[in-house]
Parts: sequence; structure tokens; C-alpha cells
Amino acid sequence: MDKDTEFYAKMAQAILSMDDEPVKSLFGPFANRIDAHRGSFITGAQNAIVSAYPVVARLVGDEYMRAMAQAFVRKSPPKLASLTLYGDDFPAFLREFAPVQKDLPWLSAVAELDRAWFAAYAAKDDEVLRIGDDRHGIDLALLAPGLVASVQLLRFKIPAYSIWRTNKVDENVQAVHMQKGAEWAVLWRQDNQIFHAGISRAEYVFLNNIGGGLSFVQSFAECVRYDQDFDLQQQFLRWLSAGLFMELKP
Amino acid sequence: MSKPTKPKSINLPAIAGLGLKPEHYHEAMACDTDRIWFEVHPENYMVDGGPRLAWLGGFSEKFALSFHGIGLSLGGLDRPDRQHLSRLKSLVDRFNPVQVSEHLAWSRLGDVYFADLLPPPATKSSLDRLVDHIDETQEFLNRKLLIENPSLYLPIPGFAELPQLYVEAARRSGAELLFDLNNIAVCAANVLLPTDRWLDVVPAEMVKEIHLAGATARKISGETVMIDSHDAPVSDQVWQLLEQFIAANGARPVLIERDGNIPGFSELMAEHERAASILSGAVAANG
Repeated sequence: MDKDTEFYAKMAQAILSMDDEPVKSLFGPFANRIDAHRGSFITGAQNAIVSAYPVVARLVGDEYMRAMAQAFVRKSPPKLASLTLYGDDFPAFLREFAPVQKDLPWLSAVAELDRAWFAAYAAKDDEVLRIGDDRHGIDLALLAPGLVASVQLLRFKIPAYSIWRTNKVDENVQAVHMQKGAEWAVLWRQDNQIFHAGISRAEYVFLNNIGGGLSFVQSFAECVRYDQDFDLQQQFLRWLSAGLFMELKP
Repeated sequence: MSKPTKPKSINLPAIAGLGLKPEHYHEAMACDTDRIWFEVHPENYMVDGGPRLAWLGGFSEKFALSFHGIGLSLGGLDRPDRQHLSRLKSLVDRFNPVQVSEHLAWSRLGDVYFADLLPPPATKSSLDRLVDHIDETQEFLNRKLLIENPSLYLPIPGFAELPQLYVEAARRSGAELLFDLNNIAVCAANVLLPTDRWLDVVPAEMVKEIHLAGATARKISGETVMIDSHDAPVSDQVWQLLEQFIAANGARPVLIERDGNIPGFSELMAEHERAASILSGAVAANG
């Protein structure tokens, strides 16, 4: 290893660990100052996680959140030179993080919703399906427009959306009973604002199928298995006005 | 109302600018275009779409804008990351900033991004690598870069020659200089590299932008280290360095940076006004 390569490797090793030893040969009595860089690294990445997961932070409090974020940074340091996108695997980390598994088993699901909010916020700007006079005569039921990139569909075995929603929007958080069971949710962006809604299983299946490339009528066929009263026209109009469907490709 | 036109010069106007923060969007947008310019870290806008890019679009149409990168790792062992360069280029092409700058620093080794501006060794081999990386970046972006001098907390190999290396890297690559006066004060405090050494070595004609920021003292094992934290007002020492540089060399674009403990817009504007007053004093003195 040449001297430069050794310099970078030792700096990196000392920053990633809590150990000054690797840089003692580089900086002698000043080696402990590597903690200034270590601190910037940890704090920068930690702040990115704390701000990307605001509902998780509200639920666990600042001190616990910062401790979890620090543990995450040590396990999964950033790879991209933009912390804006850092931390998409934080929900998966929480699923495996022993203290959370034991006391807050629903926390990773809440983290998924925080991440989905950011994904909706930062997704590319797709053109939204419009039904104007120029499309008179088109059989809408046969259209397969797909969903715009901002749409995030999530499903949970527990009432994670209710927990997330009340902690996201309510000043006085509402109690959520775990007996409420499974939930489905959709988040999307319209006119640069982020929206979210709890939806039924049938609505989830409907939107998921549209996102998978099926036509409205094909998607509807599966929905009635979960809801015999599923109203295709009502669903179409609801999500059309919300801007979930992508403009047709020419 | 007519749409404001973008400045045509290839450098920023020699007036004071401000680091743009989302919390100041409305107040910043209401500023007079002739009296201020804004700087952003492009890394904060590396998203596919949405309000953040729409917001930046509004600013780029009204104000002179500078991109100040923090993630290219020009001083690193590895070549600039192509994915990062591509994202940067798409932002540069879309928003057409007046200037694009980066740091004489490294932040990536292998697949780890260190989210900090780490100093490279000030050696001949390091200089050669740095020049290659600046060349590659300028070619990819089809833009001339401004390179910012680093802060030092540690006595890196060859640190006494860092000012010469900084200038030489810019000369050989055809880049220009972004001279950070807080960073030279931090170097002086931490490794006793005198501020005069920088002021003597850095050719004023290559300096196309000046940065001012605040530093924070941190105790590490009982010893005080000045951290380039950008979370405090500009210090008296740094204001004096600005006055000294401007009096000797004339007005330059000067940026007030604040990345932490973000105060109200009026507090930042007070610092902006102080910088503007120093610059206008120099213009008046030089006719």
C-alpha cells in the first residue's frame, strides 16, 4: 500500500470506528482530533435520518431517535453523496433492531409510511391522465394508464396507517387499538402537495393492478372478490380527480 | 409584469449573496434581484421531481444562482462518481447556475460516503490526482469549476504547502478559486497555518467568489478544536480578513453561509448587509 492509499484507508477506518489508533501513525499526538471528522460524519448522516422519519421521531422522542439513527449509520453508512436519498433501508433496519422488535414492533411499519411520504414528495413529475372532449368515444374501461410515479401503495397486518396518520397530522394524538387489524394506504402528490388516505383492501388491489399495467376493467374483476359492492365508476372518478393515473402514452 | 432575465456574465456579480434555505423561501423570493444572489448545495436537489425542484426553478428564473457542491470528492483516491456527476449535470443543465463550485476535499472511499469534507494529503501525488479529477469534472459538466480551500483540524502530510497546492491545482486544471476566509481562520487556529500565508500565496485575480461563515469551538480530549460548522455568525476575525482582502484586491462576490442553527432571514440579511457595505466601500474607494 503506498503512502497516500494508507492515508485514506486509515482516516476512513478511524472515522467509521470509535478508535483513534489507525491515525496515530499519521497525526501523532493530534490523532484524537479525528473525532471532529467522526462527529461531522455521524451527525450529518444521523440528521438526515431524523428529518426523513419525522413520525418515527415523534413517536420515540428525540433522544431515542438519535440513538437509533446512530446505530443505523454505523451499520449502513451512506453510499450516495446526497443525504437527501439516504436511509431507504431504515425501516428494514428497525425490523431487525432488537430493542424495537421487543417494545415497538409496529415502528418499522410507521417508518415505511414516512419513507413513502418522501418517495411521493421526490418522485418524478409524470403527466396525469385527463379525460377531455378530445377523448370522446374512447372506451375508458379498457384503458390501462398505469399510476404516476408519486403513488405509493402500502399494506400492513396492523393498523400502521392509523398510528402514522394521527402522529403526522393530529396535534392531540388519537389512541389506536391494535385489534383494528390490517390496513391499506395510498400516498401521492398532486400539484406539489402530498396526500394520503386509508383505503380498503379492494381499493388497494384495484390501484395495485392499475399500477401493474392492467386495464380498469381487468383490475375491477379481481376487486369484486374482496368487495362485491365495489363501484368501478366511483373509484375511477375518485382517483382520476386525485391525479393518480398516468397520461396515456401516444 | 415582465419576467426577470438571467445575468449573462459567466461569473457572479461582485455583490453579497446568501446560502438559500427552504425555511426562507418567501422572504428570499421577495428580495431585490440587483442586490443579492443565492447559493445552493446541488446535492439537496438530487431528486427526480416534486416541489423542491419546482422551488429551485422559481429562484433560478429570478436570481443569479450558484451551485456549491459538497459530494464530488475531488480530493479522493477514486475518480469522481459517474452517477453523482450525471445527477449534477442534469441539475446544471436544467437550472443553468452562473457558477459551479466544489471543495478541495474528499468524502468518499470505496462505497462509503463520509458526509464531511475531509482534507487530502498535500503531496505531489495528491495534487496530480486532484487535477485529474477537476479536469474530468469540468469536461463532464462542460463548465469551469471554482475550487474551495479546505479547513484543517489535523496536521495532514505537507499541510504547510496546502495554499500552494490549492493554487497549483486550479492553475493546472484551468479552474478558478472560491476563497473561504473562515477556512483559513480555522486552519490558523488548529494547525497554526497563518492566514497571511494564504493571503500571500492566493492570486487575487483567480478568486471569483469568497465565502464567510462561523466556526464553533469544540473540546476534544481537553483540547479546543475550531470546527468549520457553519452554525454561527461570521466572526470578527473573518470580517477583518474580508476587509483586508477587499481593500487590497477590490470587490468580489461574497457569500454568507449558514448550514446549522439557521436564524431568521433578517439576521442573515444583517450579515449580508455588512458584507455589501464592505464591498460598496471598496467600489467607492476604487472609483
